[in-house]
Amino acid sequence: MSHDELPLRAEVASAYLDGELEPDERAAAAADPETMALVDSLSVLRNALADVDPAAVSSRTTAIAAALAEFDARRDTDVAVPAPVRAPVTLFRRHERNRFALGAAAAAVVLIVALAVVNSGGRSDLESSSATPPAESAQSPDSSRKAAPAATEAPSILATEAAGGPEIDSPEALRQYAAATSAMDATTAMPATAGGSSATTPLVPTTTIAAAGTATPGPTTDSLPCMASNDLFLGDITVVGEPAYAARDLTTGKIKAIAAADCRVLFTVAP
Amino acid sequence: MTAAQGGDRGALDQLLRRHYDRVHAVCRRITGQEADAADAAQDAMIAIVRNLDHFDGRSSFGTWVYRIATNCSLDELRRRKRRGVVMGGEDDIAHSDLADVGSTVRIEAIGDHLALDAALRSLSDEYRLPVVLRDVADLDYAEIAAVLDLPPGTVRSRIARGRAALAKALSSPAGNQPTNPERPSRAT
Repeated sequence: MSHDELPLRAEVASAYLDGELEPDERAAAAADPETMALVDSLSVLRNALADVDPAAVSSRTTAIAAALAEFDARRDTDVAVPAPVRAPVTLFRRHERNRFALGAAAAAVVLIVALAVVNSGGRSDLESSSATPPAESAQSPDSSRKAAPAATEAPSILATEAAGGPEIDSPEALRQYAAATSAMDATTAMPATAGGSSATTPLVPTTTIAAAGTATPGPTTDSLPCMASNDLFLGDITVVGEPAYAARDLTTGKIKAIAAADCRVLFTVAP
Repeated sequence: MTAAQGGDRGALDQLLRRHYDRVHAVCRRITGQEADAADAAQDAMIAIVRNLDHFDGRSSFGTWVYRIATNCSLDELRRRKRRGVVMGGEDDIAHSDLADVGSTVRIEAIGDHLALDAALRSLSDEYRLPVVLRDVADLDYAEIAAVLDLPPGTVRSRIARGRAALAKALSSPAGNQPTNPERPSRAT
């Protein structure tokens, strides 16, 4: 018998153990003591294979929690208005006059500062004292954001790309980050603009925000990929070293960590 | 399962809890190590959630779950290989001479579970997987064939050969001595 051949008795015994023999085959096997002895041995083997120590409670809990977190994240993603993954969506729609007024004020401040530096070697002659430099008016508390945009750029409260913010390593950390962000938002009201319009209105999303997928034309500095129309951007964060965004779903109140690279919802936590 | 597919979180929780232990057991026997088994089982739980909408009922839910568990276990083994972890003997015991297994192999008890793990590791995937799915997951030949995309006849022969190889490896004096005959049986 070659090394590759398995004795028929062994295969019959195995199939007998599994109940996979035809009735006549089964009867023939039952009548063979050698085959039945092998069946007994294979039964001992099967019982030993099935006798697996149960998983640690922590492993079990962690695995199921991770799966449910995935379920929550996918459900929240489905709730958002469907959109191409990287379609830029305007998060807020401030009053148009406010936006342009703010831009004009920022440009004026920059010009004045530049002239002052050129003329007097540093003497600042700020006449629009009510126009706080746009970088300081940012409501986002993310202290790890990149340096303020170039002076000639229109001000933006939102970064156009995730620069990598504080490391968030758990849903609870995300919740705390969101709470801290909200607290800072409440104490850092947007200053009045030089335009004289009622620009002290805090940034709020409006119900007229364009549905995701139908990007609203506007300054791209207000656009942020991965945000759905009912998402409120909270700040740049980092999750396991991966740049991400923190956002609040204004429909459900839940806070999400969204990967900047591909807009995956990494995890979601209730407020 | 239908409720879970419909978005019922509580139903999904129950479903996952009901299948976790068996999934873990399959992963444990395929990967051979508890740490890898825990990782593979967690990956399987997540994959179940991600793909739940794609389960169309053509197979039983259990079969579908074990296919996921098997794939996750194999992925974990590949990751282990990439980490350079030694897998075990390179000689597949299923390809050894089994001519005498029909008449000489006798196992009365397997007390040394380390020996069982070692014997399993010495079995290649093509034989270990069907044996584990039969003896741990309790799938029948048709279900195993569906999981592994094999003809049922091939499943039957590979299970037989895999078992024979394990039985021969464990029937040697070193592998067949119960080291803890008083070890309680696994609670069901």
